[in-house]
Amino acid sequence: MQSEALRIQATIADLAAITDDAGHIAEVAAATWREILAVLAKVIGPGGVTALYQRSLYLTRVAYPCLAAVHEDSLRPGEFAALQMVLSQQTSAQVVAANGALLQTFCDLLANLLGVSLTERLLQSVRSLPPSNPAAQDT
Amino acid sequence: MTTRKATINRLATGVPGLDEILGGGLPEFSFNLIAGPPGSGKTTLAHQLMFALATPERPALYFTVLGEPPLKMLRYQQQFDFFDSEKVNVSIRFINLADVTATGDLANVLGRIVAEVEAHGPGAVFVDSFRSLLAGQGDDQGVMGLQQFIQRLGLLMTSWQATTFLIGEYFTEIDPNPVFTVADGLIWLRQSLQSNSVVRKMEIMKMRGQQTLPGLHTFRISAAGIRVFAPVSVAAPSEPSTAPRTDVRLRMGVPELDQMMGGGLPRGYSLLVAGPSGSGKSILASSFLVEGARAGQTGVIAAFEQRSKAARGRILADLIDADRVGVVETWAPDLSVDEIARLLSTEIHRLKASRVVIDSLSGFELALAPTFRDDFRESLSRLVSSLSATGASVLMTSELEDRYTDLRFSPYGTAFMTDAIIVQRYIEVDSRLLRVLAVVKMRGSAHSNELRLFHIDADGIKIGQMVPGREGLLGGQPTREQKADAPDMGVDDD
Repeated sequence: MQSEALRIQATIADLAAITDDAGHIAEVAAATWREILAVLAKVIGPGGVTALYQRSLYLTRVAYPCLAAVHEDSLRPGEFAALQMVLSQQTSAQVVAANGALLQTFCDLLANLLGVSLTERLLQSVRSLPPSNPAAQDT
Repeated sequence: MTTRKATINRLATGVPGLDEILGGGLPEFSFNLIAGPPGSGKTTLAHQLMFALATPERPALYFTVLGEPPLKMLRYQQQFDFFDSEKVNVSIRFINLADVTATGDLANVLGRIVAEVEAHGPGAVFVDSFRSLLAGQGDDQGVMGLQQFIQRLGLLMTSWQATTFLIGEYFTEIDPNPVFTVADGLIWLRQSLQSNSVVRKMEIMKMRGQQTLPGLHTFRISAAGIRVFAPVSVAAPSEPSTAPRTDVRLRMGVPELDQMMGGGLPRGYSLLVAGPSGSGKSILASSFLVEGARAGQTGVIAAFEQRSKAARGRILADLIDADRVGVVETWAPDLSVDEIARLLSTEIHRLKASRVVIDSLSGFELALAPTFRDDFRESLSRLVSSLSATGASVLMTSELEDRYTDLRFSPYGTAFMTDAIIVQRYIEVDSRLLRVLAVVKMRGSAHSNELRLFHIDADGIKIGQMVPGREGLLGGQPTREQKADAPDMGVDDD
């Protein structure tokens, strides 16, 4: 289940190549997660997406201890503020790596449950390009 | 203003057998309920219908409410062959209503459904499960709120020209649920439990505007999805071409037996071969099929007793390999008569078979789910009628314990159903167990009344003479005729 995760992550990686602003990259990452939530919650419900997101944090925190804080932070559906805050405190390279791993784990979990083809189907509608001005949306 | 009546299109459901019991398919734009207890196959039926009905132009919307988590539902439903992931988000859209249901206001739920229907213009709409929808409803709102909701939903969906399905488990037949009145169609799924056996059954309790096949119809869920076993049609009178004819005879593969039967088995007849264990019933059945193959006819054998192909004899095994004889082997537990009849008629049509063997009725009885055994005679009668409707000639074997106090032809009191009967028996003569057979019945035809000795060798059944000089054969221990002096067996009786 690499292709969809990589496609979604590509924007973040591209962004890191042109800026060192970890805060901005973290913002884009959080916006991408909101997009994933919007797309998937329609099908499997917000509860289902949140449960998978939390499980992904739990699994990824071993390799990226910074994510442990996000996992422990009690999470409400649709809240990616904790993730954004933790990521914004890392270097831009770390943001790309940690978010990439998290996204990969999430997609793998989904593919494990729903199969690769259905997972690809569902994630296809997650736009790979973030909104042109994510900072404005967050306010 | 036109006086022409509205045309109701009937949609093919994609569920084998369902169109037949629905009376020709599902009425377009109907408002249907799929009800039944947990595990009865409601969600599977709904998915199978949806994948058959959805097209990119008229997609299907599947609303999930609180019931089964959609993640699990998708995980398990995609295991079925009919689930085509390529259709998801193209002609099929899953929409979770958990958030609006949580508000507890059915008006919000209805609003959301309407919004999605307007956005996608679906040809089919599914709401799963309806019970969950009610769980989100405050108790104080009572039945009225629900009734209004259903009526509005039904009206809206019909106006939007969408065929709609509500899937729910809480409905009970005795509960005068308003949904029943509003719905055009009511498909009820059940599981009947007896001893250790569970049989799935489907009933079309209501389907406006068309004549459905009444009664409980068995169905099975396999990797291919649901398959309903509609009764094999027996209503149509036999066509002249397939009606039994005594002037066309099928040879049995035992020349002397053909003579005893007046020239063989009339085409289209059913023949019961009854006898005790080991008397040679299956061998006669094999010989019947092998003889058919020699004459260029194909056959079908329904085997209800587990035995290897080799045990049927080399020639028959070869015919099976060459697909000249089809085998219907049903090790699936808890069969229904309709399922067996359907399997047999499919195989008969596939091979254009003219000879059918059921070996044996005792095995058939055991293969039936216990719930059908109580009316075994009825079941057998339906099976025989459905087979005669195909025009094939049928040979059935029946295990019959030797009873020397009375003369019986079948353990089930079913002898009257068949057109012809051959009985095999053991008799004791001079400390040997010998076999005799007789043609007991041959409807509309002359036949021999002789009790003939026979033995079985490597080539099959060999019919010998009558037992001369003995009487009381049917008592099993014949005695020498008093007046007779023929030293038939060379040893004295005393």
